[in-house]
Amino acid sequence: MGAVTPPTDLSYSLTEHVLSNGLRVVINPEHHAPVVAVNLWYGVGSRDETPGRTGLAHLFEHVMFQGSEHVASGEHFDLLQAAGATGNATTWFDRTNYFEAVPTGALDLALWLEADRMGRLLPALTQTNLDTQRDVVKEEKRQRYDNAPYGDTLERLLPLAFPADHPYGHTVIGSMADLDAASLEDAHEFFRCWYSPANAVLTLSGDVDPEGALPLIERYFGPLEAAHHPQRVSPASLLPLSGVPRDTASGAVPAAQLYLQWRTPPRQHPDADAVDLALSILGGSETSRLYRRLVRDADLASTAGAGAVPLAVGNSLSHVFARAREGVALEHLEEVALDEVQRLADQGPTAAELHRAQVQFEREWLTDASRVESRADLLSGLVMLDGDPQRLNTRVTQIAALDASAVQEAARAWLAPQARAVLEYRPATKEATA
Amino acid sequence: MNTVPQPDLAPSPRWEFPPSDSFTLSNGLDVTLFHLPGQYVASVGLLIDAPLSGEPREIEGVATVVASALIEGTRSHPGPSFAEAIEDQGAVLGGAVDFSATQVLLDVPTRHLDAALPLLAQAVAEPTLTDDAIARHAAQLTAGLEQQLATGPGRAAHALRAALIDPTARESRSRTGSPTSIAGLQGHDARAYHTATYGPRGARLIVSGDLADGIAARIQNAFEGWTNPAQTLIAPQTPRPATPRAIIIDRPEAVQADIRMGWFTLDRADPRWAALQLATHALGGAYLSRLNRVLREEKGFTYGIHLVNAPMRRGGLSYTQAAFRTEVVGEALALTRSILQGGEFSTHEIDRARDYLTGTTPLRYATAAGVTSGVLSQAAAGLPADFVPRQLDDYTRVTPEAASKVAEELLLPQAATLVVVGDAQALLTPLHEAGFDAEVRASDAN
Repeated sequence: MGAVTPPTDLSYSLTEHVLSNGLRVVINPEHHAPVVAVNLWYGVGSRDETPGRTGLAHLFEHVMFQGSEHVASGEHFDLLQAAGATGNATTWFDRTNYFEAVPTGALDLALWLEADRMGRLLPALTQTNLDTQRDVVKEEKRQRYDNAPYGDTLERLLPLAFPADHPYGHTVIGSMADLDAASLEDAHEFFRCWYSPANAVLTLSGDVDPEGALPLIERYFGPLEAAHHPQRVSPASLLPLSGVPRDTASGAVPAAQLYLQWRTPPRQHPDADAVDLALSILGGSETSRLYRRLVRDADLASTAGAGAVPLAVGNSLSHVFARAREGVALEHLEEVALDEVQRLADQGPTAAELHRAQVQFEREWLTDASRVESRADLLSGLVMLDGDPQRLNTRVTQIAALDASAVQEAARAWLAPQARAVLEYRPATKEATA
Repeated sequence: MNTVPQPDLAPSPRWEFPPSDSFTLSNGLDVTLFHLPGQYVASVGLLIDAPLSGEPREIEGVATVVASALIEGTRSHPGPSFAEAIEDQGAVLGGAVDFSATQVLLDVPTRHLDAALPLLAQAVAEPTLTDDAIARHAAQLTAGLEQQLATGPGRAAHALRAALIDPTARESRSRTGSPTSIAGLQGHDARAYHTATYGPRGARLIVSGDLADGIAARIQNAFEGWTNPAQTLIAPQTPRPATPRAIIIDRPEAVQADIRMGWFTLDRADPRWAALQLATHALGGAYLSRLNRVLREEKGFTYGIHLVNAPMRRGGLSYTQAAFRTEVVGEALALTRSILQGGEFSTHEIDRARDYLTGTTPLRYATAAGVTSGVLSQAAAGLPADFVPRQLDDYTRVTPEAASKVAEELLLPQAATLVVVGDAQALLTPLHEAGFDAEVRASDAN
């Protein structure tokens, strides 16, 4: 491994500002290309949905493209594309984000469009728009989940970690029955509750300067009212799992797959980074312990890895995953995978393993920071979930400062074999499908 | 409440393709450097001039297995010590195979670039490709292929390629080979393929990022010793179109049908390419394209329908892609047919398509990875170094008449090949009523 030079902090220029209506703003100038990334995070996601209305946050995200007081249905994206922009939106457990990357000369247009739908959506939110997007979202659910091999994996993993009425207990896409039940009044109420300047973060990255951009932001977003939004539900941290909850699934899939799952700490918890490094050492690359043992040395699996679903409050989820080679029993895979998890808790990582996980994190972080679109997204998230955009510049050195004992302790505290849940996914036999 | 009127677009600063330095090493390797300030992850791509027509038919997939097994050890770093050496530098190394070339890609923080370059050189010049490693990668490739064919989109892509291209061409078959051809692969096949194809002649090395002074000398040190007297260069083939047909691949009880309507069209060197790009965007590229506006935004039949151009080195494929719930497939296909014959493009439509394709170009080349992958893709197709500015120039000259003409010539619904992956029993009648008499194949047929 040669001499190890520690990384230094990055030096992206960041300006923070809060409008009088509560909109939090980050401006990150960089003038290498004539493009600006515009990124808005709203503090609402599937965690804020009420029972019987799963999928509403994501359905609502679709409706946000169907026009607002001064913008016709579909025109938001249409005007941006004709200006040479790309863009989209995504919904996740803790947030909904809307983003576009525009040529510098289209920044005004992008801000005007985002402000119109942030403040004045309801005149355009009609039954017809809602019904069409409900159909579109149901097609999305069929395409991504119902008609795809292993498509219900997350739907099966979540109930193994959370009770059904837990804010993280259901998928972001929701259920067909709840999508059918969402009424126009539900959608209007959702907007009134959650879509306001005080519940949003706006980031601009790229060919802008604070002196030029802040007056524009004031002009378009300043007049919007500072509506109150409800306190979000913040589920308490649950204890590690006990009793090894287990689900078995079968379907039209080509190979058997094993998932192990743990309740791990949420993203601001002091142990969260050490858990992530432990997962990286277990299954983050081709030199990781699980890949090497299951795929390379023992020929038990065609692929294997580990990863996390980071969540904002209470608990995150961590996973170990392996796809069985033909004829290999999942029970055997489980036994070998758990042996590796236990070994990390017992002995900790080697210095070389820890270093590799840290420099791999460095590359991944720098890669995200190298694109204006993903850098703006990182910044919105750092403001909303961590309260500090400067972490863009300091994360790599923070991760590089963790030592082997922190990783070992995290594995022991959070990834204990007896605190796992298990999902076994097997190809359906001919008899079972007949 | 105050409202501010919709702002006009302001002119954006002029954009130019990033400047480069090029030189050739004594072994014939062509090197191009892109100095990109602020890009702290270097993107290094090595293009090996090896069309897949050079794979022996009975072991097709060997190029993919060799490329993926490069990480499994070199003479200087045998076994897992090579992957460790790569990862010690925060780097990731991988191979990607296309019909006209193999690309070996290395991403690494720029502060570790100097240490990683010799490792890339080792990976291509002296990989061990042991029997064990090849057997394992062949098995992984088979497993990956099975996963791909288990999905509707994967099955449809495979069948569309086979149906659109005459079977004499390598391009009519999967890049990664078939389960049968991969099953026969041995370590000595992989080593023989590597010896015959991996060499500096015809190769291109692209290095993009915030590069330090002296990078050229370090590249020279790392790569100049790479030679391969046994390297054989192969001329690219010109695939021919197959006869149009309609196929249903049966997935009983599927709740959706994956549908591709495709044509054999153009490569990027064709003078009609710019017109085809604008026509395609207006028909099925934009959010409010003719197709997506009706089938998604008005009807709610699909999560999205796209018309895509997939150019090869010679010739290309163009196809619609969408999934529809089973009960609306007949109506969706009838609408697709009539929209594709919807008449001449307006000036407005073509202006908007041009503005989108022109306006998004700077973004595509704003990162080291974007520059390296774009330049490699053009080099693999034999396109000139100034392809991007030329294409932007060509876009300005496309008239609505030219775009309409190319669509009428190339994207006729009655000349389309149709591939449907879905519940055949439920789909045969609606397909017939929409004008397609389809041959049904079992889902496990090749």
